[in-house]
Amino acid sequence: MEILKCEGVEKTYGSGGNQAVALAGIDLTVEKGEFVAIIGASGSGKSTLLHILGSVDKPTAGKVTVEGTDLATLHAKQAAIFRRRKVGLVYQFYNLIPTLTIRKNILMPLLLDKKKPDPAFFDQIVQSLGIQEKLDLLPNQLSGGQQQRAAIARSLIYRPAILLADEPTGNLDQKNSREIIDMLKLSNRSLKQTILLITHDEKIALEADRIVTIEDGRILADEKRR
Amino acid sequence: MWKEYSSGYLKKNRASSISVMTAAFISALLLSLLCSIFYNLWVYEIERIKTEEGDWQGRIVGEISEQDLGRIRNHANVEAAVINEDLSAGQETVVDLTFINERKIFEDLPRIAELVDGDESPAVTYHYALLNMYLIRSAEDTALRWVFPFALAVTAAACLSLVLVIHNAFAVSMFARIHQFGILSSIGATPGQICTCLLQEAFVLCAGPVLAGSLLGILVSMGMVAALNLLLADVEGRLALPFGYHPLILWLSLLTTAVTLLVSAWIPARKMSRLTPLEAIKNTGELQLKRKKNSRLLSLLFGIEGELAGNALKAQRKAMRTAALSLVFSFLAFSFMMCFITITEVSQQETYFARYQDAWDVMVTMKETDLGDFVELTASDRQRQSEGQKQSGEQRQSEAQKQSGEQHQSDIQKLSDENNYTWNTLQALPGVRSCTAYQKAAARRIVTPEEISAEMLAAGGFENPPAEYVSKVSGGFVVNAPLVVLDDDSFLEYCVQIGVEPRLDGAVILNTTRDAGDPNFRKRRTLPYLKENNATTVLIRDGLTEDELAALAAGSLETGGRQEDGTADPDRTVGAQPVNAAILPVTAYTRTPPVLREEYGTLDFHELVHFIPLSVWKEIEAQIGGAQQEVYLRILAQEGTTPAELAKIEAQISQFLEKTPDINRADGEISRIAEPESSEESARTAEPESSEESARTAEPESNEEHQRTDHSAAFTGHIEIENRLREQQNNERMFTGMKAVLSVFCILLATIGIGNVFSNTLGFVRQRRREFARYLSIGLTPQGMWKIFCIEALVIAGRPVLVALPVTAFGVILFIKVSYLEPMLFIKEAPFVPIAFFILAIFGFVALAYRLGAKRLLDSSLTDALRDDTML
Repeated sequence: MEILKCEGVEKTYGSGGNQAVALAGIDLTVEKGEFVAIIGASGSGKSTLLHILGSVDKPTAGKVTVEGTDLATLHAKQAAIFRRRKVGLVYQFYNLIPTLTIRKNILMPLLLDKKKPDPAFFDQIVQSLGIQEKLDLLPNQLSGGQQQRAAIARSLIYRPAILLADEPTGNLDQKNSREIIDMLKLSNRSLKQTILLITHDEKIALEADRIVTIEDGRILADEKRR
Repeated sequence: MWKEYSSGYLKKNRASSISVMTAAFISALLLSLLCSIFYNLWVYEIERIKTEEGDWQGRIVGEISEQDLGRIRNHANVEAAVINEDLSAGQETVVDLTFINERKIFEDLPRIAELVDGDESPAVTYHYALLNMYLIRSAEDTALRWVFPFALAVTAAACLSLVLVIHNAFAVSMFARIHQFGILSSIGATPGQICTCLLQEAFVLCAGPVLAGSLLGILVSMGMVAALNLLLADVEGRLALPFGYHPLILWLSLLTTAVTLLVSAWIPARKMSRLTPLEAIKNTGELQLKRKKNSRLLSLLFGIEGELAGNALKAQRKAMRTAALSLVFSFLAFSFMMCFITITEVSQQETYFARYQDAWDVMVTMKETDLGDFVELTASDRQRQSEGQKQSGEQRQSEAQKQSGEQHQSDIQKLSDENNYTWNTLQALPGVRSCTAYQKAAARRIVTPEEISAEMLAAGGFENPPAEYVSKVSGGFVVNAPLVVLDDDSFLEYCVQIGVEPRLDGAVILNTTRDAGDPNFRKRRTLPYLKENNATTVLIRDGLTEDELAALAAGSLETGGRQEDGTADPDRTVGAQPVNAAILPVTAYTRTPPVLREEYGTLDFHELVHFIPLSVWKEIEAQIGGAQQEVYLRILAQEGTTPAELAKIEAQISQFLEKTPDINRADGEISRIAEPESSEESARTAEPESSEESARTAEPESNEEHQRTDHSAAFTGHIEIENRLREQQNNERMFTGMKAVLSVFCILLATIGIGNVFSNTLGFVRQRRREFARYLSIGLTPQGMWKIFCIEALVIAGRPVLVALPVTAFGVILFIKVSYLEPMLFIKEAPFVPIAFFILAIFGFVALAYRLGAKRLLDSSLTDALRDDTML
């Protein structure tokens, strides 16, 4: 089942002589339950693509559909609600809210919807990510690896259609990087979570089911590994 | 580094630069304004004290010779020593001194007094009120004198707040750049270079605004002083407030600002020097909480947005401290000030203006005058004003008829005619409703236990009476019996008012005493004093010794007409009076005093007030004595009289009195008040042929002439005229002026807070961009983000209200209770509108600050913040 579809997605910054093309016609389809890695050099356009897929940015041209929703048709409020419910975003620098506890950070998307969390699912996530002891601490009281696990837990709490991870191991040491990737794989396998991982590290990309290579805003290769 | 880094940074970060410059400008302006206003009010207060109480710091009173004076003047610390001619009398000389170093006055003045030769060492006194203005206090001065030190403390606190705002604005900007300085440090910039760079930036950004703000502050304070003078221009007896400025103030405010900026730049530089470059690079300048905090109330009220807003506010607490404190204090000060001035106004209205609304409008006090002489000397005016008198008679007749019927009125008219009392020319004046002349005298009276009413006995009677008012003699208690001597017409009218037969041969006794057990001083319960079974009352001369009183009690009571059963002989007349005492028939016992300005039994609850007509007073004056050498004229204008009309009446009264001869009691000669050279005119006034002139006096068209009369010159030291409406107007102006001055200070204090809020919100793009980018990434809607801002603004603006209103309400309730004021009287006059306006202004400005900051933040590209490393 097709969960994400990009058709001719373009993104340009600036105008006239200062125009910079970040994406130059991306066509991409992701099936439900897939673990896709997008690799590319710095400046290849992979983060721009992720922001467009996460609806925090809009394409200059083209169409992006997530679970049948055309992201271009969403106005600001709808886009926010879409992000809250359908997309889980994980960043290199975690982007946890420093003034909230880890528990509140994880539950944030549900709280914004005034929904009560499913305690069993919450426990399952925090236990599988190994942060059950850290729930009442503030982000700055956790290590980088623990913060990233909390960020992953937050992205999973709403059972999103797709989890978009932008260099989630970029700020971590090797051990923590390994653990984070294992956890993403675990969520992909056990929760059937669709994951789109952006990285410049080929070794990490090899953990994915499919590797899409981007260069200069274009898909250079799309290789299914499993 | 300046060229390479700072200049570029300032150019590219205009918002941040403008924020710092604005804070520096506003703070310097307010600092300068505050110092200037305070300086002017301080100088004014000193001048006022000097004008009202004399320009001296210490005073020596004793037998001081020229040689002594020379020695005093030669003392090293004496600036000037001047003989006070007004206060010096006979052998005693009063020398006023001012000192070079007034702080040593308490050491030096006793030593200076020792320089005076003589058997007795001279007395020394200090001008505590004036010395207090220089913060020189003595333990011997028991007065609180808290106003000036309090005002100084408030000003100092306000200056400190302003200094904090400048520091805050600069420090917030500097701390936000620690990350950048970390990068510079990592590539080899020394802490010294960074500190120099910060100081250069501080100078470039703040030098101009601080100078401009300080100068503008002086101009604004000039304008405020001029406005105050304009506002209070009509208030009588007020000194003009000239604008003054001491260059030291400018230097002081500039120096304070400069030091603040240096410290503000130095603190982040010092912090930088303690951080490793890596730590500095990792510093995001983001709002962080050190410990877990809960915003339960906000979370409950506004959901997760409330919690986010609450936590953000807690994280910003340090940056917002100035705003929080200044807004809370300003609103608290404003609401307190408005409420307490209103309570004072209402209280004054109740105890003075409203209370006397139907008692008097113009009150004349004629010093060194006797009521009998005054009435006699004006008696010959009668023929000169037949028209006016007729009119007056008609007016009074119609009023009296309303009150008690024709019979009583005809009695009054008859008695009035018989006694030929015509002093009341004043009653003929258009617009005058009634006029009473009265004099007060001190007397005593013996109250026997049998006379005391059951109610008074039940309330304690004469148990433990205060020794200064009551003394015990065999057979009773000697109490004060103040006499109020009314002109005969007024006494007769009073008889009618209380419903007794008008007669001029006795006394009306005010048969009330205040219930000492009732703490409500405003409307204290009253009890009947006597049983009202005595037909006569025995008045005793005041000032008799205990032996004389005892002898009089034993002797005169027998000779004074007592019957065998102890009650007074009703047939006894005033014709044969004992020495030092007078026996009068009691015309009536009443609990209703005549409508005068006097209050009875306020201090001495046991005093027994007697109202007697002038005719009776003439008979007993020799025995009783004790008359105050002041005659009061109580003039009540017609209802609805405007201040202008009352001023006209006052002018006419002035002119009438100007033409009235006065008795010089010392030599028994009659002379014109303060116009001895115009004795011819005075004589003319007393002659029947001058009736035309007298009639003119009563006519409005002669007003221009009256206005030209220099009343102050004519009546200085002899006659005082009070105009209730004008006093009320002056009072209102004074209150308005007081409110205006205090409101300005409160507004200034609030401006500091508002300025701080602006300096924070204008820094949102730099400080909170990443925070809101995160909210964006997890699906918070733009409306949700606005909601967070609204909640924050609501808390910042609402906190002062939530803190101040209950405190103010508590204070007001307490004050109302203590002052026994009717709560409804306050509620009717309560300053809801200005307080609501102040609240709205706080809300409005905070909302504007947040609107500007939030718009700039939300209009910026938040998406970039999610991946922009330079934002970290």
